[in-house]
Amino acid sequence: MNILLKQNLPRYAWQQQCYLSTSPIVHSWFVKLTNVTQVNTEAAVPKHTRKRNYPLTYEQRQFPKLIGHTKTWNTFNTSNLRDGKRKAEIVSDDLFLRQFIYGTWHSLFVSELIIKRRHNMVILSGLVTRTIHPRRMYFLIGYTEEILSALLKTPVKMEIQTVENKEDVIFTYW
Amino acid sequence: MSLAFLKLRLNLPLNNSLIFVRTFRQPQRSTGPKSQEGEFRTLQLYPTKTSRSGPMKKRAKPQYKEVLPPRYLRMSTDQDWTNVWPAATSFKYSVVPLPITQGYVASDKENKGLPMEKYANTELIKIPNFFHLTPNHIKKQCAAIKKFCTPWPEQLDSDEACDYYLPIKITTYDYLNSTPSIRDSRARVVKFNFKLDQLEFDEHARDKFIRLAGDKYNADRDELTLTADKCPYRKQNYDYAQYLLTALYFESWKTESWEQERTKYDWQRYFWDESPSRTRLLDILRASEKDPSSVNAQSLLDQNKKLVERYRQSITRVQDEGVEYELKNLEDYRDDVLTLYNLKL
Repeated sequence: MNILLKQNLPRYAWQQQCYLSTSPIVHSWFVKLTNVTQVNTEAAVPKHTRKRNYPLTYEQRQFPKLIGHTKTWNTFNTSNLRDGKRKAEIVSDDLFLRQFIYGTWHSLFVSELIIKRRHNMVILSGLVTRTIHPRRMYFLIGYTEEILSALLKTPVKMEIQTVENKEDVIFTYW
Repeated sequence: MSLAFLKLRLNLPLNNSLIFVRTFRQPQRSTGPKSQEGEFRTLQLYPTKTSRSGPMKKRAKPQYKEVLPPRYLRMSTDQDWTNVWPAATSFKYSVVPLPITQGYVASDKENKGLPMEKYANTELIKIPNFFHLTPNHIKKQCAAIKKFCTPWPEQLDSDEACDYYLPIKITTYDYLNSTPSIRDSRARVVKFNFKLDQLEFDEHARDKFIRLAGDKYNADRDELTLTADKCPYRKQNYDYAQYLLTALYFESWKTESWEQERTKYDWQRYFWDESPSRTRLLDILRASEKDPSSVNAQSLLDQNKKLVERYRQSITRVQDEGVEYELKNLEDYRDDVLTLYNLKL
């Protein structure tokens, strides 16, 4: 939750740079306070191009600070609930899965890999373009499921959806 | 080298004239470097970098079989949804017949100002959906399980009946998570819960049981709760709780020799029969008799039964009951003492 100072109300939400911390104690109506840990972060925020023609998907346009607001997480599992199990292993498995899919499905995924864990299964989802023959895609699905199930020792399922081309996922030009 | 047309005219007698035209195929224009043109053709067994035959051609996108239109266009409104979505899966835009949108569009520049449709929408895929748990799904699943169920016992028609027939409540915990392991150390905990009325006690046994139980006994609800979590397995904890309960019960019925050393400060309630108040009252009653030494204590008490009884009750109430009725109890005690001394106000 970001608290805005009344005197520094910017015109649009994306204009504001300084936020107050979410502590209820830090509060001032007279002095402009800045939260040092949030002001200078530049992760995953692209700079505007001169021609404003750099395509961004919806996920890329919603910057990391908007996760939980207009964007949701790419992995769903119970490891971060109270007394959750296997936190570190799940994170490292996720990193491995993303790299594996990126390397196996050459330039086919147009969205981030969505990893869901249900019981002991891992379910991979995402959007894929139809650049290769469907028969090859079936092979890739089977190969991915088989080899990942053997590596992770859990059933891995792929539930991908196909998209006509890359332009279908372009949300805005930055 | 080029050969020209050769026209052969055959002059036949009289006016007939046949014209044969013989043509020769033109060779291809030379594509080699300009310096070599005109001399000898370079031998080209395969195309190389320098032998480009024109502008770079883009690889033609292979045309696969056309993709069919999405399934939801052919769905009827009275179809059986349980057959369309039998199990839990990610959102599929082509199967869900609803016009769902998800996404925040800040201005006309984003997504052309239009709302985010379900086609090519990753946000809809990310979130969990419950299309596999519609009321019809639940009905079908319940119908499938029903044949394994027995009817509810008729005698258990109220809470009191349940407490009577099922006096003890044993609680165990099971935990689910989305990992390959089913183990959880919190699942070893076993709790035994029951009311003390279920067990047979005399006064000493009940008091001793409650003292032995300590803070495991809830006086407000007259309940005992034994929580066993010392052992690693649930069965071990269950057996230990059973053993603990048995030991508590039988131990409370035993009277140890050192229990006789109990003083007035250890009483769990006010025993007027052993209290100094009784001896004091006897002295008072004896004093009113003519011959003090010859009178028996019991006969004295029997003579003034009503007075003694009233006095006993009021002082017991003062000692036992708490702050709530303190004023009333003290007033009653005062009245009873005054009647005892025949000093009615």
